[in-house]
Amino acid sequence: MRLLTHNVLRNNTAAAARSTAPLRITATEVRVDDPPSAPSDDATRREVAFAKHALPILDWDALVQGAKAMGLDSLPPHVTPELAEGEGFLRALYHVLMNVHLVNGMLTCPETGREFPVTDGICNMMLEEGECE
Amino acid sequence: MSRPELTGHASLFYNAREARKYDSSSRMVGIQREITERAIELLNLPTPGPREGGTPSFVLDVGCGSGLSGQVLEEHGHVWVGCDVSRDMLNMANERIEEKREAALHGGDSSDEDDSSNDDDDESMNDGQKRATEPSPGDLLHHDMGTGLPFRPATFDACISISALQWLCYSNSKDQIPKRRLMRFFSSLYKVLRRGARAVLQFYPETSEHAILISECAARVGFAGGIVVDYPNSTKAKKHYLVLSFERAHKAPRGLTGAEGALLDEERTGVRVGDKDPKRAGKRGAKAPRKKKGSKTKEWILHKKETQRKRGKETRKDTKYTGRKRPMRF
Repeated sequence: MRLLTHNVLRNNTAAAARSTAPLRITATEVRVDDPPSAPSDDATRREVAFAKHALPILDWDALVQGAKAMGLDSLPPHVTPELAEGEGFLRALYHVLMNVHLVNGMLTCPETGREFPVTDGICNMMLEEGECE
Repeated sequence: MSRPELTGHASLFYNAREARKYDSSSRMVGIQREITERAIELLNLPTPGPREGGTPSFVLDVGCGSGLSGQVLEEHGHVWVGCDVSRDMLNMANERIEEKREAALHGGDSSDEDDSSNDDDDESMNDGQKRATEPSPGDLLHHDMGTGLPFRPATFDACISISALQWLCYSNSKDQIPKRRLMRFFSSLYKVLRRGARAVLQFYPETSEHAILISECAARVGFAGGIVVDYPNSTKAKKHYLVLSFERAHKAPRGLTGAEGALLDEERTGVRVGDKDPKRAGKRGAKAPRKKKGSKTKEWILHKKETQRKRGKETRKDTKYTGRKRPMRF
């Protein structure tokens, strides 16, 4: 499960009462994919375009916290408009969003304590009927 | 042949053995790919697409199964998140993603393009293997769509679902109520899509009641749109696509009939749709007035009712509403 997915995930049980608080990551096994050594120009262009496109929907604080929990401290605490235009920043952002994977671990809801295990890169978000809204 | 949905829970049907069978049948794979291509077409995503200089979209794939549809999304250049209720199917999808990652890291094996060549983007779209030099931009979640989509509001640019939605119409335990699950799914889908986004959900309705239940739930949460039926006259080829959007003036595109020539590389049988309806031409009596063949005018309706009365059948009175033009629902 990559940081992009973690960033948009939330606990939608009735108990969480529509909270959009990010899930806390407890990482047991993390994998960081190295970016390809000689990416094609088009691949780079697409990465930058996607990072720019995704930026408005991200919960930046959640991203910083999540990255920290996975061992990455390189993200700035705030994003300024100038920073958001820089190609270097956008490429680094794409790398953080797409190449950092939680292979095994746990996601915990900060409001209710409900746990969502992650095994083999797949997060288990299965709910019982009784838990749903 | 009984429907898979009647045998029990989706995760029980799509167990490890079925998952492997599903994935290894080239006919199955071919059909699912075609359906996905058609769904992507119906999504009406911004042009140019990511492989033609545009921006990748963030797409949700509901009931992604073994990742066949995700693969097609990748070929188009989009980033996707898939969810499925069957862990076995997801494991297969994971295997595929792993293989792509290995291939990307090590420059691919003999069946893939050489990593050092810069532009692999004008390669043919047909063979997914040639794209293996890039790692997969797909992610997987083990999740039951009937419990509602667990994402923040206004996250996704689009949503597709291939051959999965009909599973919501069957309850597999005492506490599963189809209508409630459908409402949860659609109301959560409405929230997690960005404004202007579309959802295209291909499904296999067992009965027209199921199809109506599904569209009603979608309409009730606020979606505009409708069902597009491709090849309505062929039992085998017939496909239903629920196309949903936020545009009030949305007009669902016309389904394929086979007359426009193969959209994708296969021969299709279909019935010509046009002004001359061969079935009707012979039967219609000479008297009945019709403005143009294939449409019912008010005159024709009044004439028909008169005929019914003469035959002694119970017929409603003719009022100012008889044969009035009705407003379009979608």
